[in-house]
Amino acid sequence: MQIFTPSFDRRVYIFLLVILATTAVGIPFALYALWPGNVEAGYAPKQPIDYSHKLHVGELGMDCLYCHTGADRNAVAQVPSLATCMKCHSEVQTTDSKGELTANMQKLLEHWDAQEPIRWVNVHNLSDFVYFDHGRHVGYWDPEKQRQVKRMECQECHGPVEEMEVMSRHASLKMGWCLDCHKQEPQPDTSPGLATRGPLHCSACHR
Amino acid sequence: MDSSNHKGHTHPVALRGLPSRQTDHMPPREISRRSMLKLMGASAALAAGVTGCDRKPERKIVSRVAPPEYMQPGVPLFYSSTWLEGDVPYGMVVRTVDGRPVAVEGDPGHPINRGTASAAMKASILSLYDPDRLRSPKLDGKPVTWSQADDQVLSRLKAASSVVLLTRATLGPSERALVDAFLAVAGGKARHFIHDGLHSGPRGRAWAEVYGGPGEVVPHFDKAKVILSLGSDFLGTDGAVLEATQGFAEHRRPDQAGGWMSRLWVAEGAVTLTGMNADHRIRLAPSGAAAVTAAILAAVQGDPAGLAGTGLDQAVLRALVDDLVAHQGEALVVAGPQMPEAVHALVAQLNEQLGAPGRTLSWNPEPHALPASDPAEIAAALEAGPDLLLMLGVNPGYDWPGGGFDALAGKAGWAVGHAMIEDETLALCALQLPSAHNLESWNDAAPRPGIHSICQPVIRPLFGARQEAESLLRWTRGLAEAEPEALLGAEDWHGFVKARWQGGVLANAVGVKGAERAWEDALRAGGLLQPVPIQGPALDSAAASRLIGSPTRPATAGNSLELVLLPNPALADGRFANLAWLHELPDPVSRLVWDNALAIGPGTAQALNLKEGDRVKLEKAGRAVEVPVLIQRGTADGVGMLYLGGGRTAGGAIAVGVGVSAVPLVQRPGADLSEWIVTGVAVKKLSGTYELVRSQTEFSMHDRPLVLDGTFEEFSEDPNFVEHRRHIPEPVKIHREFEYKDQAHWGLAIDLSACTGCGACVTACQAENNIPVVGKEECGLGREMHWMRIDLYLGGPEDDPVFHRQPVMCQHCDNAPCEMVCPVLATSHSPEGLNEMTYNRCVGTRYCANNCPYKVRRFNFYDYPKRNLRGPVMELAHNPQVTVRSVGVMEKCTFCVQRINEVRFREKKEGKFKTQDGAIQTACQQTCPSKAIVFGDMNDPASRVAQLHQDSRAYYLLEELNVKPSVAYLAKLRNPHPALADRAAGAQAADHARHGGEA
Repeated sequence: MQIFTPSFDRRVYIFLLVILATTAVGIPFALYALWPGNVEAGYAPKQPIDYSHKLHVGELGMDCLYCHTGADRNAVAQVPSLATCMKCHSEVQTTDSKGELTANMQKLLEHWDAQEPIRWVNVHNLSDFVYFDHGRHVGYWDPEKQRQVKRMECQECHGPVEEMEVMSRHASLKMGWCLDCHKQEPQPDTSPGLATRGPLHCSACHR
Repeated sequence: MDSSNHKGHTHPVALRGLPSRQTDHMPPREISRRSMLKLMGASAALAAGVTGCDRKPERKIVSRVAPPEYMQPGVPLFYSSTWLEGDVPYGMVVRTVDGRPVAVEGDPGHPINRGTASAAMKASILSLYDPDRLRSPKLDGKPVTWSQADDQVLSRLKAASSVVLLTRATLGPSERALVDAFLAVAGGKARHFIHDGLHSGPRGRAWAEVYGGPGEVVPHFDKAKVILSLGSDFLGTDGAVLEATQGFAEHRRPDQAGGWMSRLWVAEGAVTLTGMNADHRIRLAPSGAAAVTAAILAAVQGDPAGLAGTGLDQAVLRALVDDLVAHQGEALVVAGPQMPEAVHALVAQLNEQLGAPGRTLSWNPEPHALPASDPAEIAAALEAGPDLLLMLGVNPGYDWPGGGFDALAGKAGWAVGHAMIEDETLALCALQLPSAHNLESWNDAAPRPGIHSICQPVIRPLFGARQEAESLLRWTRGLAEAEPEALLGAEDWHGFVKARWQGGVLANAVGVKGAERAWEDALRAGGLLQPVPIQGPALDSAAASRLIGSPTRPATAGNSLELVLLPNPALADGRFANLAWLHELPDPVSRLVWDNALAIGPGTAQALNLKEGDRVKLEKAGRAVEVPVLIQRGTADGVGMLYLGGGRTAGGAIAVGVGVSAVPLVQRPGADLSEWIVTGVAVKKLSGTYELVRSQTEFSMHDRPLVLDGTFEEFSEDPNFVEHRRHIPEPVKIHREFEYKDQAHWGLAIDLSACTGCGACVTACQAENNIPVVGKEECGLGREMHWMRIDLYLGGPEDDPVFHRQPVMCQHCDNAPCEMVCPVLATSHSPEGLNEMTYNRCVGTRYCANNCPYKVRRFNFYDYPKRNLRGPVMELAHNPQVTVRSVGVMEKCTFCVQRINEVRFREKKEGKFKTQDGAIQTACQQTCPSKAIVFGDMNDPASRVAQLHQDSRAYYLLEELNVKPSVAYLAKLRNPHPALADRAAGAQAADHARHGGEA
């Protein structure tokens, strides 16, 4: 009497194959799902209103600081309030070919009428244990020239925003990416603000 | 405030400091998820399928609809206000970020606390965001609206024929005016009583007698060369502690102020913080205080015969009398508020004899606390069965002397309670009303002549709470038939306070600048703060003699104690009992946490056959409490001490069940020596033991030079005396040497001579750095999380110890032992000498903590922020500038690196590349009531900290280890009387003898 029949062998093979297949699919799946993820470069989530940086910055030539007030001075680059949008859009209201307000315009006005803030999706999202300061990077007060001076262009980190129809993340914003710049030797520059290299020690950003 | 739109103020920065998945410990990694997938050979189809269950942390940015122009996200705004939760109003500056208060700091411009803060003041931010706060008005347990509640109160007020209004004693000028207006409107049917567990008492009554009216004596410790305290804990709980501590500490470092040093004599039964700081501490049961004070007074007047009858050490008493007499006009005598009337009358005479009034004492005709009503009167009014009982901001349900307020409250037809949390009193009320917090309130205070402080709200009341004064104002208006003139036509309480100021204190400024401008300037300044010293009225000797009578000492029976009931240094009378920070702050004397115990001396314990942890029943006149026993060296024989403020039965999740309530033993005036000194308390040992947890269990220095001290005399002869006691190591160069060229090197200097050991710095650090509480059990396992602690050592004879205190935090060593052993470089050295701790890098090996000789590193054994969370609102109390740590992460003092970065980033943005000395203050330094801590750049020779590191008293802790700490300690100076100097030396010798064998 044969204990291990050919069909048994077949069943063992199928069993092993199933296990292998499950593992091959399941492990990456589980890792992907469970790995605490930073958002990668190229992240371009759908926003509640299809706001176009390309139009506002690229074509209309608006300054970044008009909406993102304080980015050259404060730690946080402000996301514009509805009131900032309405400074222009109480007058400028785009219509489609039929002369009706565009869907985006309508949404903005609805929010304004309801005095309900827009819940934008954060594109440049840093971890909570990172304390990034926009002001330290973007600008400083030059005591000699007696005016606010720009140190870095916004595009150096945020990419060609003026060409982006949908805002997307240009850089990974990971620590290694930060350090790429911080490790560079200082630029020959007479202003005291750029005479030193960016800090490399932990407590400059983590605390 | 009013114009700001509170809708959707959440901005990414507001999420900072909140525990979220992002703050969870996450080691850095080289392989990105994308490359990981490639490595696994996953197909494109798989990747597309997986994107569906993406765990990308999508965060929302919600900016304001129309922000006020002065408010920018993440940029802090500061508001001046007044802290009114304690006995004495202190000036405070509230830091708000994105419209939410995140920190309470002392106001440097306020003449009483001059920038310092107490532990309870720092914890104010925690009580604001207390999830146990009452969420809405409740009628018979059911939520109602405010207008329904007001209607109820008003209809009953109108119908009532007798109304009892019960308030606390600390009422500001506007509140007093409002109460008067209410009483006027109510006609004769309303009576106002003041219930207060801590103020007034025998001292207030005695002063009223001998100075002929209400008022208080204000001591000036900065002007006194000789101070005698008879049971007054002026550094801990008695009066304006922050002012007293700063004044006292000023002349404890003779090399830095004036060249002279004060001498503190303390005669007390229980050990208090003040006694611990004494140059000479006399153990004296409070019942003997009157006789001893009388003898001292007689001796000062020239008749020393009485001294012999006191039973105390004659040499000490004679030296004390000589010292007082020799410092005519520069001496100051104070007595604790719990001392009987006779002692206060004697002290008044003694001060008069020593020429203190006008020099070391001034007079305040209108104290911040009104005299409390006699409980017997209140009881009588309640026994009569009033139709309506209004209780605003008081908690007699808990602290009614002797207990049993529920029966009295039951006599009232209808009771209304107004409080922040549903406490013991609110439980007795048909209508429960939620009170607004100090940080949500308008108010004012006039604590001293010439000092007028304003309290302004920095946030709208949470949970729909309303100020008690706002309620009373509405009821007053509703009750009146015509608009009462006393309300000045004000729309609400805010308007009332403003109108009173503009028409009163600010009248001159209004004439010059206009009403609005004058008010705004006063708001910005925190009020009108120009103290005017007033010399007191003449002493009524006849009244004093009448009070003194013939001091006799009550006879004591065997197995009985003389019990002293003192306010808890952190919890006061229990009003702060729902603040976990204050429970976890070790008691400055015993280091006890999360508890209340009967403190007795070792001699008394032996006589009563008791050990630490034994349970006893204390009984007097049929009322009893059961407490554990704590052995406290230095307590006078036959004396026991129990703190008030424990054993709450309601009032929040934290408050309930911690410690034991001493209230049943609190006496009515005249029933015993005083309300809080109970003689002849029977002690009965109960079966079983109770586990007490002290944050420190070893109190001996074992002859090692941890706290160095010397006498002022020694120091005057040889300013370098510390040098001879230091163990300065031979420089061994096995480490990489750090150089701090052209850069800051941060350091700290702590003057042990100024430090009183109060512990305010510990709570300040906790508030600043999001340090979690761990609870009694974890404290017992040595897992407390405080980044700084105050080490306490007891030297000298067993029954008469000498106390040494030392605040210890991370010493930011140059040759840091922790840095060398970290396998993942989570702790590293910054170019500016900081010993950095990077949480997101830490994997929790705890090697660093094991290798730290100072034991200042703390490990998160649990996810404490989640464990402690009792509701999302609590998260708002976190400092958004500091990461909230999660389980498995090591943490420790950072020298408040967030404050360093904030100041230096700001300065660099302003084009200043050299930080000014004093611009950066650590949280402990800013708060320290004695200004004992100095932070700064040691590389700047002109900085205060660099100079202090070069001071002749400076030394380093465990410097023989060659770890090169950045924290310098300045040796403690004591100032014993020259006639007793040999005793001090003897005490030291005794200490050596005790531990000689162990060294």
